[in-house]
Amino acid sequence: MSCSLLYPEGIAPAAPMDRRILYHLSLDRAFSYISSDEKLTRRFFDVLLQPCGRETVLYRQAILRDLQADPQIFARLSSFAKVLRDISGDFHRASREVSMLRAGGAASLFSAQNLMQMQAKHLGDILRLLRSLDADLNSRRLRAEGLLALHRHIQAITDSSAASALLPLCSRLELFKSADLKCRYRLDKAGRIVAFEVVELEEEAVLQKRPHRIRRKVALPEGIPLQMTAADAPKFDSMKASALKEITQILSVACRDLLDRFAHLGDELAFYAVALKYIRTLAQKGSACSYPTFGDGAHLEFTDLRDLYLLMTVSGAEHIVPSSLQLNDNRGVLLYGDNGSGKTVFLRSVSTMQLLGQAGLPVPAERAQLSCVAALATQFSESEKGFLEATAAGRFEQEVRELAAMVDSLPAGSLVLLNETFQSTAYTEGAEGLSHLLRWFSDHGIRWILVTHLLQLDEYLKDLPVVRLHTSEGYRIS
Amino acid sequence: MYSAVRLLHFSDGHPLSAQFPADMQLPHILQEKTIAYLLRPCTKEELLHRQELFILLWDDRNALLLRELLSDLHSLSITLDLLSAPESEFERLYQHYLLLGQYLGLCEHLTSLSFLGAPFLRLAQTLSTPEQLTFCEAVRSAYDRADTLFAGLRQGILSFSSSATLMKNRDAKSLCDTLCRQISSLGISLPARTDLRIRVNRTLSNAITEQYPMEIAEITGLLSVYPPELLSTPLELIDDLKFILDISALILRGRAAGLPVCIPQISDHPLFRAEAAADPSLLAKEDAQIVPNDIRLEPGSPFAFLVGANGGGKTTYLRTIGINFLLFRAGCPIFARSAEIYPFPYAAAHFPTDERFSGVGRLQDEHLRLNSILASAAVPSLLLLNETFSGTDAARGFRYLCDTAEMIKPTGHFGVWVTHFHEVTDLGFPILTAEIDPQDENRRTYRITSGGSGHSSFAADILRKYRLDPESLKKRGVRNVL
Repeated sequence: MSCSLLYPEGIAPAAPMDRRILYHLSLDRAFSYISSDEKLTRRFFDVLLQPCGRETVLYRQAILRDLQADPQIFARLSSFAKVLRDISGDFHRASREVSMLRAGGAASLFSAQNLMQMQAKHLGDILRLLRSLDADLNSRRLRAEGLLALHRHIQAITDSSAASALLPLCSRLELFKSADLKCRYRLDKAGRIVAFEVVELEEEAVLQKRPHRIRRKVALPEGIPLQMTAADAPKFDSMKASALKEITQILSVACRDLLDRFAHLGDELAFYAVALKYIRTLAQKGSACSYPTFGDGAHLEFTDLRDLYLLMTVSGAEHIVPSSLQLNDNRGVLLYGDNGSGKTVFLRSVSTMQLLGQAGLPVPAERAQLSCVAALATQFSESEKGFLEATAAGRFEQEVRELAAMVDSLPAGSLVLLNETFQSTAYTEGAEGLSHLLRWFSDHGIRWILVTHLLQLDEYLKDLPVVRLHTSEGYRIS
Repeated sequence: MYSAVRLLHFSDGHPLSAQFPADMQLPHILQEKTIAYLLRPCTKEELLHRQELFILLWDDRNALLLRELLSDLHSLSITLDLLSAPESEFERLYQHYLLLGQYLGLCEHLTSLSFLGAPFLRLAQTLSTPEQLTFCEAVRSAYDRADTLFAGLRQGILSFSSSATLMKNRDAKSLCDTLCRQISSLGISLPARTDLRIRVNRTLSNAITEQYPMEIAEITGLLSVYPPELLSTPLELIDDLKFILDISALILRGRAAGLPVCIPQISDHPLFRAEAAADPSLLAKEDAQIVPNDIRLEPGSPFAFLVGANGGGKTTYLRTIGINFLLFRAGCPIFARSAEIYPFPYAAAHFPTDERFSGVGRLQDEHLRLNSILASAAVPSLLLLNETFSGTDAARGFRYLCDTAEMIKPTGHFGVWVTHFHEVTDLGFPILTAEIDPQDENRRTYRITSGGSGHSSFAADILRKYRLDPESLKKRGVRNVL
């Protein structure tokens, strides 16, 4: 049972997209400016590449808004995740020792006692940590459903009477000494010992509950002293060790369960860590930063969108020419223009906006209205693959192979971004071949945006409803 | 208490030779003790009782009851073993108390099985005599009282602070229970707790004895009236039960493989007649093709020679006769569609043996064994001879065969002699032949038929299969040895 900050309850992550998208869109380079922690950025990209539905997008947007409004929430959660990770490391080390615990002898009894004390400490630490986080979150203004759900998840543990009873019990077990052990044995119908468990006598239990009473020495009823033989002493030690081991195993199960419930938080917070840095960086660059809305229907509308990579490379947003577009249907988009006129940048910025927006992040635009796509795929013209990688295929065949993979794998509702595709062959043939593909995409509910110099496509696609854009001077798109 | 009563009874006759089942390959399908039972003779009445029991065991529910009974007997045996070497005095008392309970359980169990025919009915009647019932009542009373006394001893508290002491059981909270309760209420699933299985050691035993002196004294007094040897008589049933269950398992296995099974009629005069009889020893071979054959050894033609192709099923035919005879003679079902058999008082097999280098050559050994068989064979007997006298030159071997055949003819012995001396067709005995497929002389049908000349043993195709034919041998080179 766990609570995710990335996905609402009942929603599972989708299969990830091809990682080459990050390269094609220069997101790897853009985010190297934003976050120097490679491990953190990698986790961020892992989440980014899993397309989300509208519900998840809104879920994350709400969490980000809360984290932006009160930075202490993120700090507190990160601290919690870190301490929990430390406890987890200690716990797993101790667990390995539990499994290696051998029966027999005083040494094993001593080890069993130590391990029990350690696991009791771990459980106590976890409960205390949860209580502390609960108290802190109580003092914060949480509005996002994800954060509220996490808080409720924690309270379900900390507010329970069980947690209240467990904390002092764990504290007692941390100080437990096997020299004070009392154990009850139970025989089965065949006269064998089937249970040997640690017990607390009632008088002692009463004293535990009222620690401030002046302690009087508990007079235990007389018992029969055991005349230990040399052979039997280790057997009793072994039984005592197994009694302690039983308690240790129960504590371990509890620790593992609680750790598992929150183990994912660290990774999930990595996403928000980079997201917050990204938002701060946009602000530092003076860029617009808005959370896109996601409606029904096929929307691709944005106002004053700036390319993220270019933003990272300049001192301020005023140096980047923004672009705008209003598309309310699923028509494909052809973008023509001279070299260096901003076609690839436009394609990149639209793709980045879709990727970041659909991951729940704000985008560097004044406003944006998008629709969730089932998948995003890119085909950017690349250099010929290395000698060892390529079979007998040239560039054209590589591209064909990539497009074929798209046809095989993309569902309806996807978005395909093509940059100068099929220009590595005779243009007329490339255009003709590409036209069939684009028609296929359109017929199957896959939206496409193609940056191209293949002017022949106009003729081949004259009967297909498409949007034709051109770059103009000053990096304008119209 | 009841004196030993066995399930199965045997008569006073001589058991058959242990070599007989060995030649029949029975150790591959039956346990050693089962085979020993098959060798021992029983009366006709006993034979009928056993047949009745095996018919009831075709219902697997009844077989399950016997398996449970055997399991209970094994438990009793284990208890007695523990009693012979207890870890402590407490354990000794406890195992003795358990022994009483197991004995009572077994008596009840055995009585409930009286519906399984005469063997179990006899046993149930013995257990139902007034003396036995009175005995069981007394044992029950002692057991119940000991159970009550032991109940108070089954839990106690050991305190290990400063020195170890045993306290009587009192209110105490188990830390594990407390932990489990609290942790479970957090919605955490805990694995089931596993029981220890530790014997009570001497130290604890002495402490318990000292802690509960009156209870221990009373228990000791109760149990001393019933020493273990008095309660161990049911163990004598184990071997009988194992025999019954081993045979049942073989029958089940045969039926599962599609073999016919029947309860043969007991003939009053010498006869061996079976329709579609099969050799169950082939069940031990994976993917064996089991072909049933008829057996007709009757007055007028009691003894036959069996000739035919190598690998054609001749030895299998001998085993079919031998194994099914052993099973019939012990009151067991046999592997045939129907049968009528005489319980010959003596049966023997003469199969080739390994040369023992014991100072006696193979031919001489064969003579010695055969003479011994014929000397022991009261008329009528069942004789199964397999390639006897094949270990010498053809002329001498055939001469010895003729001499022996002349000895057998007037005796009226029943049996079959497998031989490669095809001249036996001229000796005036019935001839059986291992059939070859008329369309393909390389294919064996494993069918044994009456008559036929059987002039060839078709050994050449077998040689070709293993590339030992002349043409293959020419193409095969020799291994280069440097």
